[in-house]
Amino acid sequence: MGVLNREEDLQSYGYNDDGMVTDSSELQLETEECIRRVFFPYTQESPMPLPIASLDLRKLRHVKYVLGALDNLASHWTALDASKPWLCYWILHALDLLGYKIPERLAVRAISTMQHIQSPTGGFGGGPGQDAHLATTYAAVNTLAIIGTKEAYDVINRETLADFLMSVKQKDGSFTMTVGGEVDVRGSYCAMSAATITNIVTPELTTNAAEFIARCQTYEGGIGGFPGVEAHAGYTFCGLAALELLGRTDILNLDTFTRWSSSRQMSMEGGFQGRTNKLVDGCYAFWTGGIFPILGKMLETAGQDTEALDFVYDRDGLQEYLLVACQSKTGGLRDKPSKPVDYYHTCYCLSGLSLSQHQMSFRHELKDIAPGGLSSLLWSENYDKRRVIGSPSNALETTHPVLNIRTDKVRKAFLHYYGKSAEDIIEEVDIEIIRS
Amino acid sequence: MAELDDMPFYDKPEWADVVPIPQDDGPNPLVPIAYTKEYSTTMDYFRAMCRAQEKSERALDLTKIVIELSPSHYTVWYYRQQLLKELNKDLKEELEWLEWMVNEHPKSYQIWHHRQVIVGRIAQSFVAHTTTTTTTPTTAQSTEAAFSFDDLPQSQKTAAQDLVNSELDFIAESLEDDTKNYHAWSYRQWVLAHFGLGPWWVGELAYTEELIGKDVRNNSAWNQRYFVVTNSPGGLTEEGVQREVQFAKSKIEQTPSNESPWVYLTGVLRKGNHPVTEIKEFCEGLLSVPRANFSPFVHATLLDIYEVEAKEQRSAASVEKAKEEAIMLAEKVDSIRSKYWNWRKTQLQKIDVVA
Repeated sequence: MGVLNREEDLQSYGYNDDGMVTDSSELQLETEECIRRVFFPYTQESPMPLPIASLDLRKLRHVKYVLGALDNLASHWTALDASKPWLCYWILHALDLLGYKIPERLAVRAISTMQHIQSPTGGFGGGPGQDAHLATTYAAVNTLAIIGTKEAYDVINRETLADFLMSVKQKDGSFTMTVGGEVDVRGSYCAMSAATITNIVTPELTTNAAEFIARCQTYEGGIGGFPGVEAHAGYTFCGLAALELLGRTDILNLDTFTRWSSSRQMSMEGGFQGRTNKLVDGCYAFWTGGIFPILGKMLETAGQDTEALDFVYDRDGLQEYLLVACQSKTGGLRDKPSKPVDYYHTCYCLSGLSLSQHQMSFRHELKDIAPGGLSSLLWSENYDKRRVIGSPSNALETTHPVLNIRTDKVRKAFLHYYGKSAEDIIEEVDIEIIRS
Repeated sequence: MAELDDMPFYDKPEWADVVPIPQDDGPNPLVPIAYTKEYSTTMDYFRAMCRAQEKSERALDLTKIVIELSPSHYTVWYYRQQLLKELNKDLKEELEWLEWMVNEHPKSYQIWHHRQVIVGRIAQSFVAHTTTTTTTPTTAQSTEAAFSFDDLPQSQKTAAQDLVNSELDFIAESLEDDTKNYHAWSYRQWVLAHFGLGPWWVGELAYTEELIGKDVRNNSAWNQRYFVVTNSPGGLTEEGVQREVQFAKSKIEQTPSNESPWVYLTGVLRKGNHPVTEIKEFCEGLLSVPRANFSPFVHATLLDIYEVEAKEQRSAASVEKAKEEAIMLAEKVDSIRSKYWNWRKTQLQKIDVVA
């Protein structure tokens, strides 16, 4: 498996334009040309191929890159003035995955920053004084969960958060991103994730939520942002993860969903695209790659032969793409070699890499003792299926396949918000891990 | 007077009464942005407007200034929406400004959503009766039509048609720059659906054909075509299914390795309750076309077809035939997906064989 070490030349795995050139095929072939160049030194086409074992995730450089954003962003960052919790999450989550221990002074600042961003009417906006927004609420809750101290958890006003979530909940099961804002499937995920972590999920919050997401599944099998709109990996992950938190993944057409998801892996590049006939992008390593752990759980539940599953995608290929094409020499990760690095891509390339290295699977046998939100605690790594491409030190920390924060941070947060029931479950999960 | 026009608004006398409110980040915040003085002062004044909930012309002007400095600042967009309503402003003028904004920032959620809100309001203003009972912007998001087009009086029908057509033209122009812009397509679907079953649906099918003609790999156009055939007046009829099957087949013949028409074809068959086995001859025919016989999609569809047959016939031979396709895909024509094809193979092995 993998894309660097295949029988044929790279080119033969490339896109076949059937002799009919269109804008889409031109762009695709251009991209392949660029990827081929960076892949070349590792392939058998090279006179002296570099070993794949030499592929190195330059962790320290990436740490330095993201740390740089925490203290001073230049004025052009005003474009993200309504996304401060996102910046915090992308950076802190990247640090977590890279195994960098977040120092106390950073934790204190994160807590204070989020405190000043929280809206008096509940939820978190993009910055102090801004209206609450589901995406920034998601990011803020995750940020505080990453900090993982009692002070951090206590920042969140759970009552007003619940009010905010209900204020954007629509009768048809969808959520607007903000009061007066747009509806799309991201809202469902952001709301469910924040509510699950903080233990404020109610039947009122979830009424019709699964049905709305199901209406977003298209004829292609993936999920679009809104019923009728094109299937897109970002919305597909959000819809799927929301359904998982709702316990309703059975509502999807499993066959077309599986087919669409596995069709998103690019034959030559190894990375994922977000939509049919569009280009590879490192961030889809998470949005598309992140589908597979949950999909694996669905296939297992449907009794569809777990042995054949080591995820229905080429893990090596994805990792090779990320390591060779997405790392910048000066730190940070990116969409593809022709694009600049940014914090968003750094976060999601690393998240996708982590999920590919560690096979996160669901402990079905403990389902009955972990109802509702608590089922999030039943994800653990299947060590036998660990697969780290390149140097062994490339291994990242494990991330939760639904919530996308480090698994130990999930446990800590759940212990805080769910108390004894979380404790009991964690104990059971650990016993199961030792047993298997 | 030139000097006064160069002056930032907050230095002008008409703003002297306002006490600006500085941003309260707290001590030593994370990710501090080095705002320009212009931006941070503008925001200080905006905060003051918000705090006082001032609904005035100057507040409206201020929202425009903020938006042009920071187009993704959704709080300001919402405030502007409230102001436009309270001050009963000319929404057509707003649309003109938005046209310019969308060209500057084609991938902004806020700008497209704002347009949707404004167009939704314009629609409400000329339609006497609506099927929805609320006037909040959020209902503008539903694919449920706000109107029953046929029940509208003629003058309102004309007004609706004009509005829809001008919006469709605007979106088409935007799509010329980026034929797959997700926001543009989402908004286009809203425009088509929101005003009910009017005559614009007919033109839309032709529009998708035009775009597919320009780039047969434009999956957004194919998705739109599916949206049209399943949502337009009458829905997807048997005649429609046949027409669409022919259309997809003709595009497949042009580009057999193009995923879009394949997934469209199987999608339409499924929607029309036609078994995929119906296109067996078509697929097998492609095997003898040199260009096509290594297309992963030919083999993937044959796998689907032979799998259906194997389940019906339950003979070892039919299962073998299907397995051969799965192996072909895993080992030769679509090896990146070998795990998926091998998984399909194991599913075949579960078929209860009687002969």
